[in-house]
Amino acid sequence: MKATAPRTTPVRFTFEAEEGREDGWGRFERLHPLGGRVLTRFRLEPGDRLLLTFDAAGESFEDVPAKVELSRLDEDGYRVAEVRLADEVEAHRLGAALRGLVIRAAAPPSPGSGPPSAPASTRREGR
Amino acid sequence: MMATVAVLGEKERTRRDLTLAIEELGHRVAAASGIPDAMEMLAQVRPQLLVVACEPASRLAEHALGEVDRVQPLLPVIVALEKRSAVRAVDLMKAGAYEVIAPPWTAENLSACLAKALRFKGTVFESSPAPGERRRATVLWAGLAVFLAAAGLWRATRPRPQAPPPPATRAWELPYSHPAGLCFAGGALWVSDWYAETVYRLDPKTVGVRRAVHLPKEMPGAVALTKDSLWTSSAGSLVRHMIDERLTGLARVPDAAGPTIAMAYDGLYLWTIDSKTRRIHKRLLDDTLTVLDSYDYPGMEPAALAWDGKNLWSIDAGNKELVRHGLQHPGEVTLRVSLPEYADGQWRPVGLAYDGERFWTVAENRKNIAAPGRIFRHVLQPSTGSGRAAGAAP
Repeated sequence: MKATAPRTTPVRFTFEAEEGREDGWGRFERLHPLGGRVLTRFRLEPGDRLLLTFDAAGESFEDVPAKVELSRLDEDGYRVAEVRLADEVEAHRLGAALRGLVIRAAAPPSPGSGPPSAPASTRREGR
Repeated sequence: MMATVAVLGEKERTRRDLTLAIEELGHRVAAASGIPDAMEMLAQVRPQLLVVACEPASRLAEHALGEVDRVQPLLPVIVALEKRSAVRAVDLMKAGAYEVIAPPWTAENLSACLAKALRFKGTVFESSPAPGERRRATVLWAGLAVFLAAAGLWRATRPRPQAPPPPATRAWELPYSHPAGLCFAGGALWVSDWYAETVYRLDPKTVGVRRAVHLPKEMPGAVALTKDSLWTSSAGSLVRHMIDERLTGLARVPDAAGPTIAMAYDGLYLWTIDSKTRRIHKRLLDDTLTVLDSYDYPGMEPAALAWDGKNLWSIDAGNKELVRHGLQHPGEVTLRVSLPEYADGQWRPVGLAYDGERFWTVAENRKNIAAPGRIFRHVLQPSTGSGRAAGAAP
């Protein structure tokens, strides 16, 4: 099961091993319990170890260790990187949050309720 | 595409730097120094994009985002921070900024995010074409009719050169009998043979065997080459090999999606089809080859997969067709091309590859299992089957 949010999810990344490398940011184009696909203007190479901070499905994730598995440039020159979470506990928490979101998105609205709203963190970003 | 870009910045120097860089990219710029001027400008020049330059500590971007939401809610807003700050950038994106960029604001640096933001468009609603558009269309059609009449007259009266013979599909016998998979990479065709437990590397010009690597612990079926590895399907597992002289085995991953009969790599994902459910699986190249998505196969009998650089293709052995799959929804077909080489049922296609110009298939003999396999280099003919009619080349 999957659900498509009306907005993308911003993510900040710091580099775990390289203290001299500045933090970067981008957006999750796709997010799943094992990680996701990040779209960014900053250089990310396969093997880079990151700490990711982002909000998803109403939960905050801070400095979650992750590894860049694949990376390529898209037609606009943006870096598209597949990242995999390296912290099993956080991956489990993300999986639970995403499952809850997908189930809520798939459920029919109850009588009298309004349309399902996106999590506050993703409601307006990426106009 | 030239666009009008609005620039909002309190400092004259930052407005000038951004204006120069954006104009260098071929866009028109309208600049404003404060929120009231910027909102008036939005109403007058209707820009396709707003760039707000500010210090990380400034609240100018939030104010601008709020006002834009009120005045022109679909306008993408890019915030140009005067100092790099990842924390502030993510906060601004959460507040509604389409993108946040950091110095240096060079044309090269701005180009990617402007291009992406300018392509971020909503649906165009039109009840009917505008009257001016209708008049222009009439003139264009009349001009086209005159041109076609003149071209037809010239074509009917010109001397006809001898046309070269049309290219045709070619076939070669393989020096083995049980091909099971095919892929193209590094200027070579790679063919697996399950019975001989061997992967062959063929020269596509001569179809001669350049190298044969025996894999005694495997029964190789479908094959795919990724950036640094050769993957083979083998008895319920997918096996990763180093691309060296012996194709040394690196990892064996139990095939969670079911026995793979077809495999292709698109530069990012591994695509497979399993023989049980006959579904197409999009997989991550991680330790377990995680299945990200699965799609029903839009045909009878999937036999092979290939990636041509833009699209995923498969062979439907039941319908004897080459099938092009939708990019967003691989379960949908965008083109079907019949393969007359397989029409008589003598050959069973088992592998598919694209070499940049032509599709290749490998096949085993259905009636005589000891007969040599066959490899085809196809010249495709558009089919009348379902899907969009198009030329033969991808």
